[in-house]
Amino acid sequence: MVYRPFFTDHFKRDIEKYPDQKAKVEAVVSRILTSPQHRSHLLKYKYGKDLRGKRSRHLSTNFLIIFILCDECIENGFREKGYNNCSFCTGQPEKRVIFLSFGTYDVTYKK
Amino acid sequence: MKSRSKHRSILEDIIIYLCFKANPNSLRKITKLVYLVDLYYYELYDRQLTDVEFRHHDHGAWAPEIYDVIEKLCDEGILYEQVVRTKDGYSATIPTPKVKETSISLSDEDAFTVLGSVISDWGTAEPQAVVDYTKTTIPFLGTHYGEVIVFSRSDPIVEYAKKHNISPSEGATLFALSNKELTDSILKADAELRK
Repeated sequence: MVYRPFFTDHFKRDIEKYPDQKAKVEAVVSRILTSPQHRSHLLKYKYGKDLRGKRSRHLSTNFLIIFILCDECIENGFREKGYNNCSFCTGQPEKRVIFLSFGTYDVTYKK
Repeated sequence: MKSRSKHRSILEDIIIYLCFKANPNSLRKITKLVYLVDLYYYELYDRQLTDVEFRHHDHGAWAPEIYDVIEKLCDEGILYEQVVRTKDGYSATIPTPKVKETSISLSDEDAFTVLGSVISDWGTAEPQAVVDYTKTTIPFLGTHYGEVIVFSRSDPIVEYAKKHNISPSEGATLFALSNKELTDSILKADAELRK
């Protein structure tokens, strides 16, 4: 694995809500630590909710895993802009993934 | 983990595993579960676990190869086809293993994770529910009737963004905001990090 994981308490609690998804989440966490930008998308500010500086990756059937890339945050100035501000941040771009949340979405894609 | 029998393909081992774990079980459900195994695997590893070619048909993803393999496994005495009457009064063929579960040996540890996830999500679902779900999956929707299903189009966020002519980031944000519980969780986790 290229990146090291950090799991927030919220992430751990979210996982506990879906015990049958645990193996799948572990597999996708492992993939994210190897290649975090692959199949993940940066989030934006919308409808008064500021999700900038965070990434999301889809997981079947209708789950999203939300995380921050430490090196991306520093190098792209997300911390300076206030999008993220981890209390333990050293200001150095570390190879670390901070896992924030896991949950379902409610969007149906139709042809 | 044991290496797979020289005489058995990965698809054969997957089918036997699914026949053990899926309840209720049917030929139709096994076909759709193999499709979901490939879909789940593709999401993680950017390739199908099997090399089955699925096609877009009226009843969801369809692959005659799976029926051929089940027939072969029956001929070899590994499976037998049990005919039962459904609650609607129809007769259904249930492929049933005649071998021990421990004889299934996939060398790929990741394959077992994905198989477990598919069974966890769909193992006890009614066959029609599995059919209905497969018909909502992005690779199926992105393929014309009769054509081979291409798994590379499996990210619903990207496909949603294309359809609505927005960026994937915009699409991903709409997905994240679609569930208040998830949005709140992200914002609370962010607040937790700032403390």
